Amino acid sequence: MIDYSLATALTGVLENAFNRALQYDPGTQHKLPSLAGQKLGVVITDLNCALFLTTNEQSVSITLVPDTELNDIHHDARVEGTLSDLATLLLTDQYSHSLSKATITISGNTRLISEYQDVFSDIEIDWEEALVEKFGVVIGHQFAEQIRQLFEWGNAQSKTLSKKLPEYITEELQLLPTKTEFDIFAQEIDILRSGSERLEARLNKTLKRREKSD
Amino acid sequence: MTDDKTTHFGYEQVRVEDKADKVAGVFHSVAAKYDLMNDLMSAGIHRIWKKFTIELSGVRKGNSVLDIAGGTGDLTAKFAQLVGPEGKVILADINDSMLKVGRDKLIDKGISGNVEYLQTDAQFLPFPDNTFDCITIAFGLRNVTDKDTALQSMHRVLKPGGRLLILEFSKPQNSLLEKAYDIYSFSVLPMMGKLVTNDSDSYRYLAESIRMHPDQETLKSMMDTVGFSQTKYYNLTGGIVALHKGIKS
Repeated sequence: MIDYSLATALTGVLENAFNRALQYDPGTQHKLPSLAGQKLGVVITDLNCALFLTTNEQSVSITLVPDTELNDIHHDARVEGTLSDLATLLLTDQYSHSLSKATITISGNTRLISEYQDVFSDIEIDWEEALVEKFGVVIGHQFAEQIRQLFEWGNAQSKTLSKKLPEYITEELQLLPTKTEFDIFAQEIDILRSGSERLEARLNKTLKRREKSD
Repeated sequence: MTDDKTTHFGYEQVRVEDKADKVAGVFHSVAAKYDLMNDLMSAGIHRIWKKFTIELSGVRKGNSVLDIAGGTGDLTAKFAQLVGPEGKVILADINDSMLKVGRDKLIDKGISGNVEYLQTDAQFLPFPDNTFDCITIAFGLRNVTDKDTALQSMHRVLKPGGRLLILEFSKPQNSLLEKAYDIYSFSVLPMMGKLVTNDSDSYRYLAESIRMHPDQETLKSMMDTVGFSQTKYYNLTGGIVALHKGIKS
C-alpha cells in the first residue's frame, strides 16, 4: 500500500529536479508553451496512483493522486501502464515503437502524449542533487541509486526491444511476414503481373484481328 | 459531545457554550508562531499533507473555494493561484488573530484580488445554498464544538457535485507507530511549545484534542450521515493524518 506522504514528497523532488534541469536547457524549455493549459494523466497501474503533468511557459507541474481520484480531475490525455512500461515509453525515441507493448493504453489527445515524451526524452536530470537536497546525503544517494538502476534497466529493455521486436512481430504474433516470405511473395506478384500483361496483349491482338475481319 | 450540556476540550469536560472561547484562547496564544510551530512539530511534513489535499481538490480556473479554519493561509495561497482571476477563494476562520496573520502573510506574498477574508463559525456558515465548488478544512474540524452541525453547514453551501476535503489528525494504523506518536505528542510537543512559544498548555490541548477526534471510519460515517456521497479517506504518514473526501450529490 503506497504511502501518499512519501509519494507526494518524491513527486515534489521530481518536479523540482525537472524544472531545475529545464532552467539550463532553453531548447527543451522552448517546447513548453505548446503544451500550456493541457493536462496529461500518467496512470501507474502497479502503484495505484496517477501523475498529472501540466505546464506553463517555463516550468512543469507534476502532481500525484491515488488512481481512485482519476475521474475527479479533468485531463486531456491519459497513458496507463506499469512503472517499468512507462519508464521504457519515456526513454524510447520512437513513439509508435513504444506503443507496440500491449500493456500500455492511451486515450484522449494522443499528440499531447507524444509531445510530452519529446520533452522528457531530451532532458538531463541530476537526480542525486535533487534527492540529496530533499532527503539528505545518505537517503538521497540511495534513492538516486535506485532511480539510476531503473533507468539503466529501462534503457536495456528498450535496446533489447528494438532488436527482438521485429522477430516477435513476425515469428510469434505473425502480424507481418518475414523478409524471405515477403521476397517469395514479391516474386509471385511479378510472375502474376507478367502473366496478366501477356494475357492483356493477347486479348488486344485478338480484338484487333476481329475488327479487321468485320 | 457527551451530553446536552458538556463537551470535551482535550481531555477536559467543559460546558458546550464555553468550548469555542477556550479554543479561541488557544489560537490567540499560538497565532504569531503558528507556522513556525507547524514546521517544528511535523518536521515540515505538514506541507506535504497540504500539497496532497490541494492535489485531490480538483480545483480549477474559475472555481469558488471556501477554506475553513484557513488560519495562516497555506491552502488559500495555492487555491488563489489555481482559481485565477475569474475564481474566488474565501479564507474563513473563527479566530481573528489567526485571520490577521493569514491576511498579512498573503498580502506580503502579493496574493490579493481573488481572496476574501471572513471571521465565521464553521457550524453556521453565512452563505447561500450551493455556493462553492470546493470546501477545505485543514486541522480545524477537531476544534469545532459540534462537528455534525458543521458538516451539515458545509454540505448546504457546497454546489451539487462540489467536494469537501477534511485534512485532520487521525488514528495511526500501526500499534508501534501509535505508541511512538503518543510519547511524541504528550512529552515532546508540550516541551517544544514551552520553549518556542512559552505555552505548553496549548500544545497539550493539541495532543489531547487529536485523541478525542473521531477516527477514520467514524468521520467517514458522519459524512455519509449528513448526505455526502463517494466518501473515502486516505491515510497519510501511517494514519497520523487522514484526508477525508466527500461529494455533495
